[in-house]
Amino acid sequence: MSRLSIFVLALGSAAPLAAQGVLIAPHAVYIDHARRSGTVTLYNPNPDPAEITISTAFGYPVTDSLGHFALRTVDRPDSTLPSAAAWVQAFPRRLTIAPLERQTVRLLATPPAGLPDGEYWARLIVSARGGKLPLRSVADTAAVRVQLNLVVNTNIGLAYRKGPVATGVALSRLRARRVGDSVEVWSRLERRETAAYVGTVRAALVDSTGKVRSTLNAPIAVYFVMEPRYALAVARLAPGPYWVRYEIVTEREDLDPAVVLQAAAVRDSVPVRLP
Amino acid sequence: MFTATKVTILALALALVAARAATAQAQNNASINVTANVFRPITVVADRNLVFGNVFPGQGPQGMALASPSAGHFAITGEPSASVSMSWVVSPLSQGANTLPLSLSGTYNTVDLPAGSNLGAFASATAATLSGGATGQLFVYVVGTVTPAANQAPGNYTGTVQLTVIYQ
Amino acid sequence: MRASLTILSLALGAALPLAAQQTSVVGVRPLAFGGLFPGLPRAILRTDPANSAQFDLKGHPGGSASFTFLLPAVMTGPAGATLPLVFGGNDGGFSASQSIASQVGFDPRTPYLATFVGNRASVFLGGTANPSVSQRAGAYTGTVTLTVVFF
Repeated sequence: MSRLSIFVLALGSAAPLAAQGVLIAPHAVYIDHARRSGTVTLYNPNPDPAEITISTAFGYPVTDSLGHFALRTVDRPDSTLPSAAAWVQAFPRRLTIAPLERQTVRLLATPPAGLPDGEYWARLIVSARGGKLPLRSVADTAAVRVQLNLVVNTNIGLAYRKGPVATGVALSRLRARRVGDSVEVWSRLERRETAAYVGTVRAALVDSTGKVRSTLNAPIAVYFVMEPRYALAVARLAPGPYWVRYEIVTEREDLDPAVVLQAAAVRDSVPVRLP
Repeated sequence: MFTATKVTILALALALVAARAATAQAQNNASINVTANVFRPITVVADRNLVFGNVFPGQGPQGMALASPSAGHFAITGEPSASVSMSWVVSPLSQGANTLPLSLSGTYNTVDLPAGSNLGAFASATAATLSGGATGQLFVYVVGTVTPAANQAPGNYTGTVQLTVIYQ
Repeated sequence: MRASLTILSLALGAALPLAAQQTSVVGVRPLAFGGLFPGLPRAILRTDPANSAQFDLKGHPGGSASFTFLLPAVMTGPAGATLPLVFGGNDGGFSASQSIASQVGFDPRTPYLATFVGNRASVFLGGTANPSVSQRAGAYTGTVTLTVVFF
C-alpha cells in the first residue's frame, strides 16, 4: 500500500496565527423605551481584519446542579417570557473591522404596540471570524490538505426597559462547608420586582476574633432563581470555627451606574468549622 | 471758572486713559466640558490555531500535546471573578462526501498554562470563573486528534471549530 | 462750554463698556473622548471636527490676544473615580479664519500670543485620555477654561 502523506493543516503551519476575536463593550446593553436604541462598540485588537456577524436570541442566566452559571435559551419564547429578541436588531448586522480599529453598532428596538411596562431580555451574539491563512502548498498531489476555520462567539445580555422598573433579591438557604482547600458557599437567590437583579456578591470568611481571612467579590445577575456556588480560599487557615459573611449589593464597577437599578443590600451569615 | 475747567479736563483725561486701558486689555474667559464614557469590555480571542502537521493513514489517532505550540489557544478577558459558560460546535472535517474523523479535548485555567481543569465533552457547556485581581482572565488550550483511515481519500478537508463564550 | 464738556464726558463714559463688548470668547464645542476601553488610551486631535474642543473669539482686526488654558489633569467619574488626561505640545490650535482645517498649533500648557486678522478667530484643543486597566465604568467629566487677554 502506498503510503499517503496526509497533511492536515489548520490555517497553515506552526507560524503565528492571525488572532481572531474582538473586544466588545459594554458587556451588557441597556435600552430604554424613550430612546429605543443602544450601542455596542467593537474593537479589533488583531493585525488582521475581523468579519463580524451580530444576532439576537432569548435566554437568561441560571445555575446548574453544581452551582455553576449556565444560560437557559428558549428558541420560541411564549408570551409568559419577557423576550425582546424578536424586536431588537443590530445595524449593521454584518461588518468587517479593520485591524486596530473600532466600530459602533447601533441596536434599534421596535417593540410591539401596547407593550406593558417592564424589563425585556435578549442575548446579543457577536460572532467573529478572522482571515484565513493560506494553505501551505503540498508537492505531493496525493496528499490530503485540511483547513480548520475558527469562529469565536461572544454572548452578552441585553435588557429593554419600559416604564418604571424596580429590582430586588431574596436570599435564603445560605450554607457553607469545607471542601479541599476551599470553603464552598451556596445560597438561593430569587429575584423580586420586575427587573433582573444586577449586582455583586461579596463573601468573607471571618475567624473567631473577627478578622477577615478570605474574601470574594463576584458579579451576578439574577433573572429568576439562581443557586450559585462560590469558593473561598482557606488553604493555610488554622482549624476552628469561622463565619461566612455574605452580602449582595447593587454595586458594579463594570457597568455605568446609570443603568444599574438600586435595591437594598441583602446580608446573611453562616458558621463553618475548618477541621 | 478756571477751577471748574481744570476739573473737567482732568475728568476727561482720566476717562480717556480708562477707555484706552479698557480697550488695550479686555479679558474674557470661557469654559467647556471634557467628557468620556468608560465601558468595561469582554474579549474572546483565538490567538493560536491547531496545527496537525503530517499524519499518515491507518496509523491510528494522531495529534499534538497540550504544551505543544501546535495546540490551539484562546484567551478570555472580562470582569474579575465573573462567571462564564463555554460551549463548542465542532464540524467534522470533510471533503465532499469524504470525512476525516476529528476529536478535540482541552483544558482551561486562570493562568496561561496548558494545564488545569478539563474541558470535558465538547458536546456540553463548561462553566468557569475568570480570575480575580485587576482583570478577569481565562485561558483555554485545545488539542485535536485526527484518525485517517487506511484508505483515506486525498484532497482538501475543511471544518469549523466554534467557541461561544456566554457572559452572565 | 460746560454743557459741551459734560456731553463729551458722558459720551466717553458710555464708550467704555462698548469697547469691552467688542471682545468675547465663547465655548462652542466640548472635548469629547467618547467611549473608552480600560487600558486603551485615546487621543483626540485638535483637527477632529466632531470631538475637539472649540472656542470662538471676537477681537480687533490686527489686534493681539494672549491665550491661557486651565487644563484638568483628570476627569472625574462614578464614586469619585478619576481618569487621567494628558495635553501635549501640539494640542492647541489657533485659526484666524475660524477654520479647523487651517490652524496654527501651539502648546496649550503655556500662554500663547496670537494676532487677529479679521475680528473673529477660533481656538481648538485636543488631548489624550489614559484610562487604567481597571478604570471604573461610567461617565467622566472635566472642565477646560480658556482665558483670553485682548490687546
